[in-house]
Amino acid sequence: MDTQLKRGSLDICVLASLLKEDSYGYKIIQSLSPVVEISESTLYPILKRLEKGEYLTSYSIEHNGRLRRFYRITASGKDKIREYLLDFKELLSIYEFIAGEVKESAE
Amino acid sequence: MLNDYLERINKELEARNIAEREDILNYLEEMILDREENGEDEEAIIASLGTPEEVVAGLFDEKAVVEAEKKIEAAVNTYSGVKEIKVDNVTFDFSFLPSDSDEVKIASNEDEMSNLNIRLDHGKLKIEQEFAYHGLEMLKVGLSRIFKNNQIPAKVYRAYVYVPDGIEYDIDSVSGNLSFEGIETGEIEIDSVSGGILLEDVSAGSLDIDEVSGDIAMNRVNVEKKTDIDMTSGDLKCELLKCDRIKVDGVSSRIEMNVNGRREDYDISISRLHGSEEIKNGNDKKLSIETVGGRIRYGFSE
Repeated sequence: MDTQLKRGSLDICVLASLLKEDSYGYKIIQSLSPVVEISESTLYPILKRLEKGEYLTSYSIEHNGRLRRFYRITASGKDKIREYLLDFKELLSIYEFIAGEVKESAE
Repeated sequence: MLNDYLERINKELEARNIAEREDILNYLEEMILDREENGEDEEAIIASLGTPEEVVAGLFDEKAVVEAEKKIEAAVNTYSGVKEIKVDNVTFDFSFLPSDSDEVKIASNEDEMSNLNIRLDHGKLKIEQEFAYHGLEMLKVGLSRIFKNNQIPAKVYRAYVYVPDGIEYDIDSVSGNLSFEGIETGEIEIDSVSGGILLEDVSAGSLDIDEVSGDIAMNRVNVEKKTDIDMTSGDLKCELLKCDRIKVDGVSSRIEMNVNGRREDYDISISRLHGSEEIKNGNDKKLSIETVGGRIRYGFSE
């Protein structure tokens, strides 16, 4: 797939990993691993950017005598996912058109 | 060791005049402790994160995000240990294509995929179109037939199935189109009502197709044992079929057959309403074509 199409998709993947429940850094990396392997230092700027843009909020919970930061998706975070899916759907219909024309020209 | 590592990172952040120092250190410490809790060795974790310089550079490297995004694959379902694919289909268009690994991969968009019920049972991968959805889709297909000019178009649902060599196929389908391209396998068995069937560059042990009103197109197909095609009103157009035992029956079908081989190697039996031909020389290879109301054209590549 063209890199252009994937631009921004990692942000959406991170947001999507928060849909079912709030999550924390280590777990986010784990849940993304079937799709893409990212390092801790790659995740950090994404989380910061999404928090700054108010797509997610964070809070800390004590765990084994230390703090663990949890992230929660906001309403505009969910809107961002919806927007991405709609854009992608448009792309898919363009894809369908092109594939259809290719198929017809071959017949 | 962890504290020492974090302290060196702290120094690096200071040297770069980065304001959110505490936030970053907390983040990294949490990540390392979480990995330790999940059984990783502290030394190995630190080694995998890299030197303090590398860690800090990585934190502000947007290029790393782009690089990671490049690696994202289109969402697909993957199944390993598959020996046979069993499809119970109504309206889906299925394309079977060669897989680049020994796993079966099914790709569709999420929306469409949710209409498929897929499960792997003792090497048999069962792909079924959800029943609740059959009813409505069948109604649409039916109505679009009645209003012949497709005033009520049925939505096209499509799934791409990437299949490693050697897996057998047992496919029941109603109106969806089926295509097999570049597939190498043992047995292919297809029952279809009105959907079209395309086989291109396919090698199979045996091929058994029952089709009612859909058309069949075959290009460059090799069948080791037997090709058996039963049709009612659909047409067959077959280019370069290599097979020693070919049997095609139609009712009102128009049949065009070009056999990849030499005419003199075959016993030939052609039966149509007006005029039949029988050539029996006691050859091992057989070509038998029968249609009642249709037309038959056949030939050999050599």
